[in-house]
Amino acid sequence: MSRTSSDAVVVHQREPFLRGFGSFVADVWAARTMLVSFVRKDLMIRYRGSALGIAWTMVKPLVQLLVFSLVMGYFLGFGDQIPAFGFYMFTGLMLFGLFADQLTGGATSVLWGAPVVKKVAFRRELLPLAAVGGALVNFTFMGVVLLLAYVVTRDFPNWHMLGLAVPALLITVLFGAAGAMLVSALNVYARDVQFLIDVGLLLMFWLTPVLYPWSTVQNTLAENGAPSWAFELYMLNPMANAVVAFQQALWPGVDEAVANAAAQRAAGEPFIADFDYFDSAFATRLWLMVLAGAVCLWFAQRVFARLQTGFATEL
Amino acid sequence: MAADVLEPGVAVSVEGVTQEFSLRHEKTLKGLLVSRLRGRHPVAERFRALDGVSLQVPTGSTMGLIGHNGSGKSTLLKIIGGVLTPTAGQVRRRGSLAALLELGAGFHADLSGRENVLLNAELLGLSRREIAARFDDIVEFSGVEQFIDTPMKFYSSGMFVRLGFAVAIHAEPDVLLVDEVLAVGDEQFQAKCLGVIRRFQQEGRTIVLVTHNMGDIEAFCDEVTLLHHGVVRAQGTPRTVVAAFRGLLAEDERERRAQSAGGRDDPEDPDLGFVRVARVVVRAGSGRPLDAFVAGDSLVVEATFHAERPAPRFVGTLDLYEGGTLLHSTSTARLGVPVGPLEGEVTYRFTLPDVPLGGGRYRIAVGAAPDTGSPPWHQVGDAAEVMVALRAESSGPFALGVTVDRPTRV
Repeated sequence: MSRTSSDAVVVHQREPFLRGFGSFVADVWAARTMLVSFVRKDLMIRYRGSALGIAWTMVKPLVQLLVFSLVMGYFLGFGDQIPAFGFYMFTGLMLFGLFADQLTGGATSVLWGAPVVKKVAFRRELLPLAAVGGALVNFTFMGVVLLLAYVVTRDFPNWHMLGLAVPALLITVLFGAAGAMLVSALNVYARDVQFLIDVGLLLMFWLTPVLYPWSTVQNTLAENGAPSWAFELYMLNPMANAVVAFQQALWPGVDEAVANAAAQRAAGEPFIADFDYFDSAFATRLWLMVLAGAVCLWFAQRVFARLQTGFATEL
Repeated sequence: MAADVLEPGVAVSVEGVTQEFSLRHEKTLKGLLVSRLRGRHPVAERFRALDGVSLQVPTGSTMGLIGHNGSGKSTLLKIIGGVLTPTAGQVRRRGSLAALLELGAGFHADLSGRENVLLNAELLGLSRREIAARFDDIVEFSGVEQFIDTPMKFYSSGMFVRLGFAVAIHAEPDVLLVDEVLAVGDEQFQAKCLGVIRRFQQEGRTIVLVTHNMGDIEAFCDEVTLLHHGVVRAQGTPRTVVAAFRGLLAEDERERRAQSAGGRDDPEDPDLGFVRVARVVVRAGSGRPLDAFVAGDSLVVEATFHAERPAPRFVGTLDLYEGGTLLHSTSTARLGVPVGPLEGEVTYRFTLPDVPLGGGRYRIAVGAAPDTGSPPWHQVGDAAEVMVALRAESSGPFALGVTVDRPTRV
């Protein structure tokens, strides 16, 4: 039997702060079926005993879509300026929802797993990562709704822009997973974190061009004489970049909007809602954001590795 | 890696493990900030649960951990299990591990028994196929078939433990950690657990057992470690370490008495004198050795008491224990010797005729006290050990000589 010949393991690996990410990736990969089970259990518990079940994940974004269409599209008149405004908002809401779900789910993930964390040794990172997985499942449901909407309205996105969805998703998942890991660990030590997250996400939502065009921010800042770095600051928000890219990729109104903007500019009209992002450097900018997200994930995992040593005593 | 080299034949190696806990209670940002701003030293609020503990568990052996509540046993088990990360030191292990820490395997109350079994088995490293193959056995062993699809928040604590034990053993781990699991559950389940532990021992698996039941320790362990306030106080064969633990208990009891001293009950009261048990000789009436005692034989206990300081009142006590259970208690006063003063030495001979002991291991304790029922000056907890061979016709501490008639045909 292999019982005696198997190699010994050090039960508690102490790694220097900068090292250990590689073993994390390897361990998560080895435990991938476990991760899937966690995601399933997580969803099962959340929707147990409700008639609609997992369909509830779509209720909130669809109600949001309805309310925002009415207020932003109709009352505030964005609907007139932005073609296919419903898609514009839905794609933005969907991506931001993915980001927000990862963080809110992540915040309570370790607390939720407390009974298991206190009894069984396993990679604790699987818990926030399961929240990431759960958020991706919800996101997939939204994606199905989006596809159905394309078919029903016969309004399809611009296929040549579709590639932008890849860095947009990567940015959202990398920053989201980093955030989920960080807040899941911090929340064990200070339960305020889960409430702080709600406030932070509210701020971030309105500082992300989901319901309005990003150029409105640029123009308003310029008109009021703000320095040019003010807009750069606004665009440092990774989700602002991701949402803009995601909309460009999946929003059927993009060509029409760009043409409209060009016509407006030519006619010298005062308000220009521009949708053609900066220039060709946008793609580079997105991939730099992806890289920044990867660095953040590395950092978050290392912080998590430090903080997790106290989980069993703090829970 | 060099650090992973573990001597052959060692399953678990604990090396200089120290565990400190912080005693702060603030669970909010405000609480943390306030305590930080006030400059309270976190150092001052730390509690050392384990202090430089080292031990090795040979592959295939069973190690018992004993000690008072709060001695660090459970903390050590959690560290070996990898749930707690020690403040200093390291643990190395060979082979797979399953643990039952503090009466449970880590079940989520909102999930059903079935879901928890699947989740837990997967966490213990079983593949989907292995789980599918063993699921029915797990459920059958636990005896919760009826409730397997009920959320575990509706389970009794006994059911919780039974299911936990069932999952852990069906993971077929190389190393099994068990914390007090044998203390719960009905007798039938306990017997089943003990059977599994026996089987694991035969299969060459390594077991680390935390228990307060000295009978289990003596029955199952190859080696025992005694923890006292987070340090290893004794290590060795069950017999010697359990004796050391009893000594420790008596010592603590005396300390406690000395601290809460006052009035007539104070054994150190000079007016009361001080008597100690000087010698105890125990033999069987038939002359057979005590470790081959036979039910029905008699026991003779000759106890010599020595008054270090003359005592106005004195009684000698005689108790019979099985593990920690008192089977019989008597004293000179209760047997008709008037309570009287004692100076110098006195020897009493107790005779226990026709001792009806069933198969097992018993001990005789002799004490010196100012009165029946008052705390003793001195007590010898294991004055003698009496062993009776297990018998086919009955079990339990009493050999009652039960007979049965042939069935009468109607």
